[in-house]
Amino acid sequence: MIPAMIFAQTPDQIFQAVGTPANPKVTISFNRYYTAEGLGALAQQLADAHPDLITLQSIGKSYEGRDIWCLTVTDQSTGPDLEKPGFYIDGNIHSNEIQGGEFGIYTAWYLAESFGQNTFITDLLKEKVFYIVPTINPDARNAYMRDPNTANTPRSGMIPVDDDRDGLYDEDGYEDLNGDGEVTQMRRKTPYGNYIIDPMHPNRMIRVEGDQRGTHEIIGSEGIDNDGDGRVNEDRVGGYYDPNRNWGWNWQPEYIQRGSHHYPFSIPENRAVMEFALAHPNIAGAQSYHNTGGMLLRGPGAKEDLSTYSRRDIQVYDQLGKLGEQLIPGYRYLTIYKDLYSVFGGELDWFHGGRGVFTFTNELYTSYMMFNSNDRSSEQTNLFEDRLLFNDQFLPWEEFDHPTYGKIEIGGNRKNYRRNNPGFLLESDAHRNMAFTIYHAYQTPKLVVEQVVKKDVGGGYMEVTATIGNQRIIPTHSDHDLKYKISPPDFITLQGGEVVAGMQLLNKDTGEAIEQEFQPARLSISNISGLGTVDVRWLVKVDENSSLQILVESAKGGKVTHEIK
Amino acid sequence: MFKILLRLGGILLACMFTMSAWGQRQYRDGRALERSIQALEQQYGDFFKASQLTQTSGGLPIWQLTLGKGDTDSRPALVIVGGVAGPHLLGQELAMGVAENLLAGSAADSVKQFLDDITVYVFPQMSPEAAAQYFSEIKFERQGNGREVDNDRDGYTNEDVHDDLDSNGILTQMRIAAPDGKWVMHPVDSRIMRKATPEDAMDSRYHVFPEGLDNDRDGLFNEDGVGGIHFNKNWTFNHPTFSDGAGDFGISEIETRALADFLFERFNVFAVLTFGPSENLVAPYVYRSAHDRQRVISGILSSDADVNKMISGLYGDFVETPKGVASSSQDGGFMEWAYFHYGRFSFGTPGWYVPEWQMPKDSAEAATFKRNTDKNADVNLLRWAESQEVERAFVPWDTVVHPDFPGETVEVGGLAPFLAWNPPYAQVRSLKDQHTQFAFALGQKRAKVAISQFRQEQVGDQLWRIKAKVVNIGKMPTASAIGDQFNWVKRLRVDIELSQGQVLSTGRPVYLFSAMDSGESQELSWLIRGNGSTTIKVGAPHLGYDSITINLQ
Repeated sequence: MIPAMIFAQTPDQIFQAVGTPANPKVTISFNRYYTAEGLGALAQQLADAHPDLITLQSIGKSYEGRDIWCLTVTDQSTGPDLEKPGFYIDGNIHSNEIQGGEFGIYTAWYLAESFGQNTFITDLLKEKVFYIVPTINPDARNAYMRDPNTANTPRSGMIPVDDDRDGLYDEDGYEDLNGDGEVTQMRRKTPYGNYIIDPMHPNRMIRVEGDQRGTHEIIGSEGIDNDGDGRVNEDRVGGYYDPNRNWGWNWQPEYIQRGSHHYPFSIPENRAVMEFALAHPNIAGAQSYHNTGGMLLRGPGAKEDLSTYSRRDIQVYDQLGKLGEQLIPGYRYLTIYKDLYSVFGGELDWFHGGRGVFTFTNELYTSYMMFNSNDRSSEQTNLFEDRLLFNDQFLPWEEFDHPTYGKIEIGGNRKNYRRNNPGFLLESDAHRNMAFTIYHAYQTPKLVVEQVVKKDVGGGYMEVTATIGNQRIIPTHSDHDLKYKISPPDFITLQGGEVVAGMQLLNKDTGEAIEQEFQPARLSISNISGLGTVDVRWLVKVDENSSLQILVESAKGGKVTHEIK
Repeated sequence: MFKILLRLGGILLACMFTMSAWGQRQYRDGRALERSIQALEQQYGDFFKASQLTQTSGGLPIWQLTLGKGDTDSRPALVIVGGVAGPHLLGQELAMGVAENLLAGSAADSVKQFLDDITVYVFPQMSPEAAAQYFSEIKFERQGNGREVDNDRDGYTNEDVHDDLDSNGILTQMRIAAPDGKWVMHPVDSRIMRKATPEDAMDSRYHVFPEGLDNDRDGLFNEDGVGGIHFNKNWTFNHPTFSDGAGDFGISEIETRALADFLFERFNVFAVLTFGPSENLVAPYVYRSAHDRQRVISGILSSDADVNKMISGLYGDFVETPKGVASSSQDGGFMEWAYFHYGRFSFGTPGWYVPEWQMPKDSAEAATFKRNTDKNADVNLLRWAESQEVERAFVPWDTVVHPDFPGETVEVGGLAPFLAWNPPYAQVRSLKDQHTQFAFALGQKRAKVAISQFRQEQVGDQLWRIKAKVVNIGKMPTASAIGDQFNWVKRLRVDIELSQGQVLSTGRPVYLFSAMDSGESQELSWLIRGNGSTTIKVGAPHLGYDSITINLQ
């Protein structure tokens, strides 16, 4: 209890910085990272502090049996989450790409703490629901932080894989040979080397050019040949599979798409997300946070999937992505298959291809953020390391006697450098990325009964004509969703009278229509487009006591009821 | 001559496998299958284990049978799968038949040796809900499992199920005379309907629909009935995502996933034999350069096609094969998956085709038949079925009152379901025997590795050079070309184990090799300092092992 008291401020000691909740119920430091259990504890605190806004559930277990926590954030007083357009956020699918976890927590925190304070956020939580899974790779998140790893490992989860196909599993991984708590680089002095020590910045090794010989060679990351096969670190813990090549849209086997594992969703963490997504057909937008490089990525992941992105769907992505570039300076809106690499089986591909959901992957953090500049020269990097990080990222070279390589030196940059935001750049990046996802979520369908006209046509029949509109840019069904009928159609129902005929009007002025014979009260409408409307008409037998209402049910557009006066 | 000898071999094998007393008289339903499995357990406990792999979404068991002795998971294994397509009851019978015959023959030395050397995993019925439709009150060809599915993806589930309009317990077809119909009666046999051509008169045309009502008035009949995902359409190779019965992604079902998990855990599997719709035994798959021109491999690889051709020839040595049958494959099929995404040699056949009906030799009798000039498959099927005196092969067209066609003449009738899938049961026994002989021969063609041409040489005091070759002495490569490219097939591994005090001067303690063809070898060489006992071991889980121990002094 006492440490908490030391940090607490009283409200009268605070002056609000604009755009940030000033006196939150839960105080969180957004200049450091949290383990899987750390994120879970923060999620629990948020749920406890905001019981009317946040529910916490485990959507499944990881390979090592950890809970995968999901925060459902919405104003529960305006209806159940499944009846509102949903926005799904996860992070950390690649275990070394950790900051999505903190960005997810920041988003839940910001939404909940702003509710009732900020009108825009308050309205947003009345209309939408956010499903936030800070980490979908809790096992290897912890392994990345705690075990001998580089900035790039593990990328997978913790399922053992026999990478070298010798019948043994994960038998040759990295070692922290000099016991400094980090896996860095091994270098060796040699007259035949191709590296020298940078005279201007002795932390750094530089490659010699042209006709020169260097003084050192770089051997690789710290480790030994554990299994005596002549290779070092070739079958590492958490062996190579890639959770982001394992999703069930155009999944391809290992020899075509490295890392895809056995079959779609053979990785338990992905399976948990898939089952959650199938149980939440209201998800209309999604974000999967990665690092690094400052990118707002859309699909297709594979060039073979080019046809899954129609011109109209791309228009929606463009509208979102181009605004994102403005919201997050240094980030670029790109298409994976042509701007990055062409890969199969990504999470984003499944959300778009398998669920018809408009989905982005943000590659968090970019060296642009060092000096708000695209100058990434070594001079700039040196300046950043020396004068802003004070070389906290670097472990000095130390001599070591290696069983295979003899006298070597071990040293170099720590794993938390380069890919993970430095502490002082974490919160602002979290906020800007959250703002992008909020805009994306805001643009999921908002369905409104715009206009109803009643006309007595005699014989006890009333003609009811209604216009149903979508006030946002995302349609209830993407073109891809329509092509495969992934989501059920939207249903527009007239309740409260005996409906004898129902139709969708193709032209409200001329009355041209398609009649629906089966269940005419409940009209089946394939799509309500972005910023578009549909017109429907019923012939209904009514008496004076009839009270009519219109019910709109859309998997991704939510449920709306409208009393007819 | 060679062929004759092989046939003779077949006959000898046949003798081995006809000791069985399996008095099966009809296709087995789920309970009969379970009783048969229990009987095998009682009689052949030494060579046989049975367990439930899983239960389907409809709560029915998927049986997994293991033939072999002792530590079966550590021996090279052949997998046999039946019941991949619900209406194909024959597939289940062939898979069970091979298991029953091998066990019945296990008293013979050669079969006993076979079951000592390799393991046979048998999955007799992978579509239990669909197969059960054959035995239920209303019989129809069903492929889907017990999962509730909105087949036509219209937001309603099972809103247009089948209807037995003529209450005869089987679903056939309906025909309605209509000038815009797409069908006419076949000139050879007016009971059979064929596609209309522009030449056919408007007043001879019919609509033909499945027997049923259009419950949801969408113009389609029975398009959203019972039955969910098809076992043989749910696998990841060319998965027809979102098409009816395929599932929303590959391997989405309890039973497909359980089988995939079982197989991925078993690196000892060297080949998979599937009794189902896909064919590469009567006619093998043929390599084309387009197969591997793109990064997504679309067909069999060149060297694997050679193996397929060899095994297809072997099949012809034991099984009477019809003429004119082409190889075939199916999007999302299991047999295709076992090759393309599991990386094992994979073979498949339905095991039987409807024979071509022959005109009677007797000219008077022949005169009662018109020649089936357009080789209409339904005409052939009906003539063949009647010649075999198959009961209820055809339901005569008979009028019914149909609410969707008021005032019109609607007739219900047509060929009975299942006819083209399964022969009369009397013919199944011989098919079981033939396929047992083939499976037995297939197991013996597997790749085997041996250490050969071992040499040891004293180079100096306590300094030894040893050399050996590892040779594939089997008839198939040590791995398929496709499986050799990924993690899920182990490499051939060579280990040298030294005594205390011995060290390697040259050579590694472990070597790994990619696929080796039949008769191909790899040369190995080590320089060892120190005297003592040294062991070389070669092999892989799907190949078995060979080893040699030498005393260097």
